[in-house]
Amino acid sequence: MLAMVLTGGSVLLLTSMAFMSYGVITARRNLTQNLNILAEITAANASAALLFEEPKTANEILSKLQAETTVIKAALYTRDHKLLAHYPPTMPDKNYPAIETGIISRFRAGAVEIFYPVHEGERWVGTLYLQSDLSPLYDRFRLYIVIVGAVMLTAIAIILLLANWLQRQISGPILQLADTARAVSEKRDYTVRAKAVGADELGALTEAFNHMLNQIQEREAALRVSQSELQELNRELEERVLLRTSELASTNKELEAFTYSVSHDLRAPLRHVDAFAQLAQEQTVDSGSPELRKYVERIRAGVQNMGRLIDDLLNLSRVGRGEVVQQSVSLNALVDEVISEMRPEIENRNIKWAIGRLPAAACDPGLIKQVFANLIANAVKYTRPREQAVITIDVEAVDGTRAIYVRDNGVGFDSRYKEKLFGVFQRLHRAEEFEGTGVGLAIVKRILDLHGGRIWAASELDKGATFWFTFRGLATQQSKN
Amino acid sequence: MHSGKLIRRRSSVPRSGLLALWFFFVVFCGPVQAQAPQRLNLEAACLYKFIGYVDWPASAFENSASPYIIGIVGTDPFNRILDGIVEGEKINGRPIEVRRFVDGKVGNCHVAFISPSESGRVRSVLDKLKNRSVLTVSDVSGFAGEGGMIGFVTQANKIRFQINLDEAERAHLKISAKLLQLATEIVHTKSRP
Repeated sequence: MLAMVLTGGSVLLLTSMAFMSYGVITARRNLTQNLNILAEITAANASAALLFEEPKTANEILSKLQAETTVIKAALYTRDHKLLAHYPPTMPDKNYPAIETGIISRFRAGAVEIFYPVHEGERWVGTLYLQSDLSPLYDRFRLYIVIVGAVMLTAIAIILLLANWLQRQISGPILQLADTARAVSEKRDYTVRAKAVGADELGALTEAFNHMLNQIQEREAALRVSQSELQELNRELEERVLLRTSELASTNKELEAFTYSVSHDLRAPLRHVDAFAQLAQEQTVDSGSPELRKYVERIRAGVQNMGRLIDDLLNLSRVGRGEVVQQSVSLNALVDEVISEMRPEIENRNIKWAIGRLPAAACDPGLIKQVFANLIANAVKYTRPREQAVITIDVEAVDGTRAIYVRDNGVGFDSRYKEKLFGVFQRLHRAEEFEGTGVGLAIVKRILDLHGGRIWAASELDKGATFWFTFRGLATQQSKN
Repeated sequence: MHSGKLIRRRSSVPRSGLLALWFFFVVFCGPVQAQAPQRLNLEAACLYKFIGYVDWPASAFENSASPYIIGIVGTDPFNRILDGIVEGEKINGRPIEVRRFVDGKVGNCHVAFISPSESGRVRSVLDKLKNRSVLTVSDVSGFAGEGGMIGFVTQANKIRFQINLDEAERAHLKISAKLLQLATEIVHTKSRP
């Protein structure tokens, strides 16, 4: 609407300006011509008076100019450039300009003036000067403005009417269509249809729109069908998963039971062997060859090794049994206990402990203590080659949850095998360098699984290792320390 | 060229343009000196100018190139002045001649200036010119009222003239309205007792 008014208005304005300019130019020309004619007539009348230098008659003739209301002043000059007569009579002489020769007409200082030589026959007898105001021009100009104004107002009124009509015919239906589209997308109601108006382009548009809505509706329906199918499939899958999980769980339980019984049943015969090996050792103290002594020592070491292995396996299987207690535990207290229990082992070691403020957590204190014991023991073990071992135990946020970590500056492990760390009997170091059964970390993992947590590690060979773990009770408890 | 009793003197005064310029320079608003020469200059100029505003009947001229003749009746008061003014000038394509007439005998002319020397017998001169198409001009006082056509009057230190239109009409002379406009008075002949 605004565009139409602006376009129409500016076109009209330009045209009006053009016409006005033309009109003003023509008016100016007319003004000059009229002044010329007036000068000619007056000059002809005044020629005798100029010839005879008769001021009285000359003034009379000039005074006739008052009939032409636009004349401001007039003067008659003799041949020797003296003022003979002037009009209006009351204006002092100095208001009249110096004479100029030849016919000169020009616009100057808001008026038009003319110098007109007066002749009597062939003789030049003097000069007439006329000055006229521009009121005819201004009047015309004002008239033009009024006309242009009126025309523009009318034009704008017509344009507005037209625009309104067009609006109703075209823009209206289009806006309706837009509203319908918006309603459809906002409310997702694909049953809505636009009202068809007429058989013209707008009608075609509306038809196409409705057709499109049809398609959308069909797609929508198809989508829902596939959605429900998907849900169905999901449910089946979940059932299957549950089934498998329960199968697995039961398998695990069996395995646990097996491990327990085996370990338990292995211990007894082992004790026998150990006992007799001990007796043999005592015998070899007094008699027997050095070689025999060595053999018996080896037998004992082997037996003890086996014993540790079996103990650890037993431990592992035990972790699954029994209740998992849940109570609020100070983790720092656990750490302190573990370290103090290790005191005899680390008496001769140079270990720098950096223990942070750990939060309290809801967990089984015994089991979590085992976790700390195992990780700290590992840290102590693998930092043995170091002058000074630096072991850090602290808490940090990892992926939005709190995690406890144990960091050492030991020999580290090849991080390629970091997935294997927590497997049973997995060792990444040689038994000659570092003793161990390869079951410790598996136990730790089991314990954390039971607590709804996880454990992971990172390391660089010879640069040390870091073990993080989280569990359910750690995330929810506030830090109290 | 007409020969005759006249003594035509060739003027040795400079070109009339310059002279006229000198005349006009003193005229406007300037008081007319009581000195005779000034007044005479003006009268002479007027004589010359009058010609342009008067129509003579065609019979007054031999042909289209015949000159206007200004006749001075009586003692010529102008000396060379009038000759100087009219020399080389043409009006309506006719040159202008100056002739002097003495003893009241007025020869062929178009304008007759009756000198103050004839102021005693103005009437008789005018009677002689009665039936001729001659413009009678004089600075004798009351000239226009006594039957003359144009009489000079000195009014408020300026040269003016009175015109007797009746006399002019009687002599079949047409005086332009423009000249009439400039006259101080249009007089009529006093009826003679």
